[in-house]
Amino acid sequence: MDVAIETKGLSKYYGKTMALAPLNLSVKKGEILGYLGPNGAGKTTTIRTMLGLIKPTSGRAEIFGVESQKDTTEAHKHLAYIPGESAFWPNLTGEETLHLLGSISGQVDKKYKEKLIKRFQFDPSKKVRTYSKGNRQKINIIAALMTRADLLVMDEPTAGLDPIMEQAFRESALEAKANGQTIFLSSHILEEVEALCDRVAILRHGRLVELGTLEEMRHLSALNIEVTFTATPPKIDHIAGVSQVHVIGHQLTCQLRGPIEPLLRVFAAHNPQTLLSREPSLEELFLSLYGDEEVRKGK
Amino acid sequence: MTSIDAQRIHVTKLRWPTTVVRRIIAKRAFRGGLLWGIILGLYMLSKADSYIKYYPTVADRMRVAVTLGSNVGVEALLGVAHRIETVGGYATWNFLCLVTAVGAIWAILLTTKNLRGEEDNGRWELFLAGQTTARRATMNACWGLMAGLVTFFVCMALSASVIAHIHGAHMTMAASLFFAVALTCGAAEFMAVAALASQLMPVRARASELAAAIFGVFYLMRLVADTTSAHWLLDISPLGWIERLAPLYGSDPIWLIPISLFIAVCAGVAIILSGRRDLGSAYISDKDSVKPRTRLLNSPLGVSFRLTRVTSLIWLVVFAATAFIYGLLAKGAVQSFNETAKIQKTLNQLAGTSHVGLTLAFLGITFFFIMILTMFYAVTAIGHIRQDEAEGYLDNFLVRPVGRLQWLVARISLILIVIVLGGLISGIGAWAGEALQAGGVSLHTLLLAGINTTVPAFLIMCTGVFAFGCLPRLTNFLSYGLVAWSFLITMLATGLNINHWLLDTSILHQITFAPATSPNWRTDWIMCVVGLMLFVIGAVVFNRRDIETE
Repeated sequence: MDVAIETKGLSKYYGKTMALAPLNLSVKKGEILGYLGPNGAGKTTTIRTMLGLIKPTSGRAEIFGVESQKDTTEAHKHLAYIPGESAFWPNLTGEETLHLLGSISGQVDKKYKEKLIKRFQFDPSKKVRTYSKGNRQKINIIAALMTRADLLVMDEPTAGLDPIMEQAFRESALEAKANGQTIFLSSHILEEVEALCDRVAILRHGRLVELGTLEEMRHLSALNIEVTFTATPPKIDHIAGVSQVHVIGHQLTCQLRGPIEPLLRVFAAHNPQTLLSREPSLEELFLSLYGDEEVRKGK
Repeated sequence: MTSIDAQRIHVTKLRWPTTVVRRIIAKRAFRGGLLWGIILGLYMLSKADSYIKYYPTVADRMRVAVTLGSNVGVEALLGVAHRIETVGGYATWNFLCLVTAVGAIWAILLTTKNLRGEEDNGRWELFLAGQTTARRATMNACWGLMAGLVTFFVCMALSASVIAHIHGAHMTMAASLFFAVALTCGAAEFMAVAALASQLMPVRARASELAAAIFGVFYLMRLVADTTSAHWLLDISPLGWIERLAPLYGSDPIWLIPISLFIAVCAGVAIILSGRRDLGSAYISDKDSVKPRTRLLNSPLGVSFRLTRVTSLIWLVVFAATAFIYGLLAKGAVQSFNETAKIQKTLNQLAGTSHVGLTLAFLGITFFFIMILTMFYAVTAIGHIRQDEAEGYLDNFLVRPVGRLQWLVARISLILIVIVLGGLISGIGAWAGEALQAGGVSLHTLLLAGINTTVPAFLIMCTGVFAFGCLPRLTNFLSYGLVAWSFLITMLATGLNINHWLLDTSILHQITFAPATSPNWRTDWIMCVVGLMLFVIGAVVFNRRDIETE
């Protein structure tokens, strides 16, 4: 079986309010899928429905071919979940909590657990009530990764972690991928998704609006261009696809959607000294999808 | 100097930002004070009224004084009886200790919740980020708690005033108000103790334990003082000072001075300490780092047992102690009832039979109260199950290969075990107490009575599961509501003619009051089957519904 997660028309309505429109999504075995969307887009609803914590209004989700609503415990044997926040028993220590979570998961790589404890600089001897938010999140991460589950479902996994621990998390996620594990990563940190994910799915108002590799999604945004001339830059407003033109002295910046050839012809005729063109980052892609709407709303 | 564009930003200025803590806590304290005030006030009213009704003559009252007033067990429980032949003496003897104890427990729970619980869950930090300091916030919290205390006092005063107006009570208004002050002193003292404990201990549970332990020590001092020749112990125990007030029979308000000083010192030290410590820290810290003990942490059943074993043990001790004390009291109480036809009639009416000895009728009523205690245990335990879901603890299991039913059955099994053990222990406890007084009721009879108490608790537990499955957010409301309704209807039925349809809605009406009458096993089985059906429906719906966190 090459598919780790498959949702078929999976939807969730609360009365007449749509939390998730029928979702058809497939995550291949061994890949890392980034799941993006603004607050309230339906990311957590998707995950909780997939995990069987909430019941779908229609459709179904399969984890390695096992329908997660019908045979929830069987489906859970193949996965580990990292929530963004968890309630742990305050009087248990970190070690006791990890032991408990490992025991009910059914499998633990003890050596790897020790390695993760060192990597995340986690002190498991303390009681949970004394841990900071970041340290509690480390319990979630270690508890999931130490099981070496085939599928890791993550919902804002680095919430509360400092930059060094974020780096440790990325290292662990890439290690898991190298190990053949599949990762479903819901995150707000675009840099993290960009660094880790093979494909990205973008959710908006409960609907999947984009799905593809970063390369495939580049077309969604304009190319950023920055040119320095020896004299006053030429007028380029009339060229199709050009927008956001700014001139400061001899320097010109603009954005371009569409073919670059007409623009290059104009530049070449005006003696350019330097030319930089840059593909959009995931953040810029994200803003191009959501930013416009927010700006319109603001107006 | 400001860089804010004053024309575009409009900030609403609030009038009293520094008193936010006081107002929030006052609102909570008021609700608790009102609830407990009403419950205890009504209880006092009904008991005082019954006393006047059932012991109308001096001769009747003297008999009570002779039999109950000289019983060491009763003295240990309620204190030494003074002028018990008067309504005032009886009321003081009967209510002062009880109201002090209940008030103290309420005050401890309320205070630690607001002063340490808020800090535990991070909300105190939000308060302190506002226009206040730790010391000022604690002082405001203490003022807020006073609202609960004042409400409690008003309820006590109203109840005492009504008692004073009952025909034959012979109590003045001033005496009634002094009695209300005395009844409120316990709550006030332990509010202050709990405020101090909240500064000393690292978490709410520890603070409550410390305050409860202090209460236990003071109670023990009072108990020893009342049952031995060491009466001086009353002079050094805050609970003894309340007894020394002697309201309604020999008022001695001078003892209000040490009581007030004690409250002022505890509250004052608590306020000072709160300003000197870091947020989240404590003066007495238990170890934050301990050697891991992973025993039992390998399944939902194991972890549930480990996390609930102390609470379960406390409940079992409460069942055993209650049954034992009432067993001790049975003989003395029955002697005082023997020549009072009205009270015999009421006992028999409540027990549902007129063909039984008074000892068995008294024990029947005893097991009726144990039944209610067991039902309260069941609804509290179901409330914890719902709390696990609401606060997200359940998610830790359900995102792993643990089925919902597996988790639910594990939790319910433990509750069931405590209910059954509670029934058996109650039977043994009542027998032990009764046997010490050379009573003649057999262990077998009392064991059956104990088992009989488990049936309504089982039914209420299953009803709780039904509510948890179908209407999770209303679990506590429905479960506690059903217990309160059943109790109310059963109590009212002893004095009023209530429609049988209404009576049938009470779970307690369905059950016989063993050992006053033999348990009706057929009815018990029917109740168990109904319970089982409710449990199955609740479990099936829970298995299919969304997990609902707060």
